[in-house]
Amino acid sequence: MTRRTASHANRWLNAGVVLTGVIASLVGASLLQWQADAAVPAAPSSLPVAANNTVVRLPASMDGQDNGPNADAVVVELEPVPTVVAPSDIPVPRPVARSRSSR
Amino acid sequence: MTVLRDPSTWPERTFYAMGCQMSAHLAVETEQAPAALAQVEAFFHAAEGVLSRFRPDSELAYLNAHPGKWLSLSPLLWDVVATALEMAEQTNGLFDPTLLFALEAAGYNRSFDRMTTGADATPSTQDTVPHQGTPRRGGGYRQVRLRRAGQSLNLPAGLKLDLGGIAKGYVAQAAVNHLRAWGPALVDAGGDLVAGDAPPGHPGWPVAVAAPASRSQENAADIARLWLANAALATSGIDYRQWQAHGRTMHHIINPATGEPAVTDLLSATVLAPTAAQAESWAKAAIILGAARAERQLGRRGFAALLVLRDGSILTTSPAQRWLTGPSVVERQERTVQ
Repeated sequence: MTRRTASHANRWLNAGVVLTGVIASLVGASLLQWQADAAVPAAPSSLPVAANNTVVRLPASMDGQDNGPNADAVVVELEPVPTVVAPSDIPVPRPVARSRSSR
Repeated sequence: MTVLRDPSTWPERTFYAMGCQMSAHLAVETEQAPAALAQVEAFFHAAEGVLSRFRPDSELAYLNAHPGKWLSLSPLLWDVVATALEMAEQTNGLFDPTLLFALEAAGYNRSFDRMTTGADATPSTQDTVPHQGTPRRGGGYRQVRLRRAGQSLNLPAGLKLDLGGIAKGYVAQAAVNHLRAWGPALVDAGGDLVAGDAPPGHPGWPVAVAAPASRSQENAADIARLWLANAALATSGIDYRQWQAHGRTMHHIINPATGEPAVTDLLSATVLAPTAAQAESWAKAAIILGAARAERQLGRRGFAALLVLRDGSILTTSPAQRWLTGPSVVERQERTVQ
């Protein structure tokens, strides 16, 4: 490969690397932003719920801290999500989706 | 008179991801709908690159390949793993995401697509994990160590994570929440349904519970239909994902007590829950429990569930009665649990 060809190839290679990096950062940024914006599912009813707030604590057994008890247990604050299902006396038309075992 | 739009005519996008056929639906007419729905597909593909145990370059594969080390996880993997471990606690270990060794020993050591097509069909004894004398049982999820600072995790030796249905449901839930910016949405992640708000003028998204594969014929009638809004509906079953290995029929739902595919009188279990993680976890737990215990435990916890037995009969928990439309229920048989 001549010096001129190598220089030309390097320019394209560098451009491709830069473009790939830009795309990757956009995907990563959008994915992270999407995650940040995503509402966290509601707290299950079997877990303790604080007044005016929904807090879930993972059990102490999951706490990776070796110092003392549950002082730094993982705490996930959840926003309540209403569960609304219609009365069963309204006939359901053609379904848009079907629940089934994975296939 | 206002004519309500048929929900089946709202913008939708179908695609294949995480080994399943999927679809996303958006109940709003906007020129941005196709782009918004395309984002959902992109998110599933990106998430698959993190969460799939079948991708050798996925973050999950790296985690599974490095036991005994503290590894800092991406926000996505951290959230999904934490959710899976929480579901293990809630189901008292019936749902256990740390049974991958047992699952591989049963023959499910590559994607189901590869197991059922071409040269990879029917796992051979050469490419499965040797069937050890003592199957790897469950309970290992309690040994997984999490550290909030740095969102790091230490996976003990002898354990590997399989995030399976939890991953699909998690991403579907996040996708529905993301689509809220445009309007009401529904995501079907390979049969796990997650619904946001109801479409305009309707009490929910019209969905159905499909008949299990072994009961189905061409255009077989659905078991039930219901309206779904701000909730999730998941089905777990042994009707489809089964194969021959070690001289017998295997399936993918491992009983943590035995480390082997669950021996059960159920063909499928469908659970309605506030979140996809709960629906998926308890649907799987129901298969392991069997009809009678599943009906009691899920009913006691307030879950609406449809349980299809191998003999073709259908059992429903009490909460499920409210959600079913009488005229649309094709077949329903209530039994007195012995």
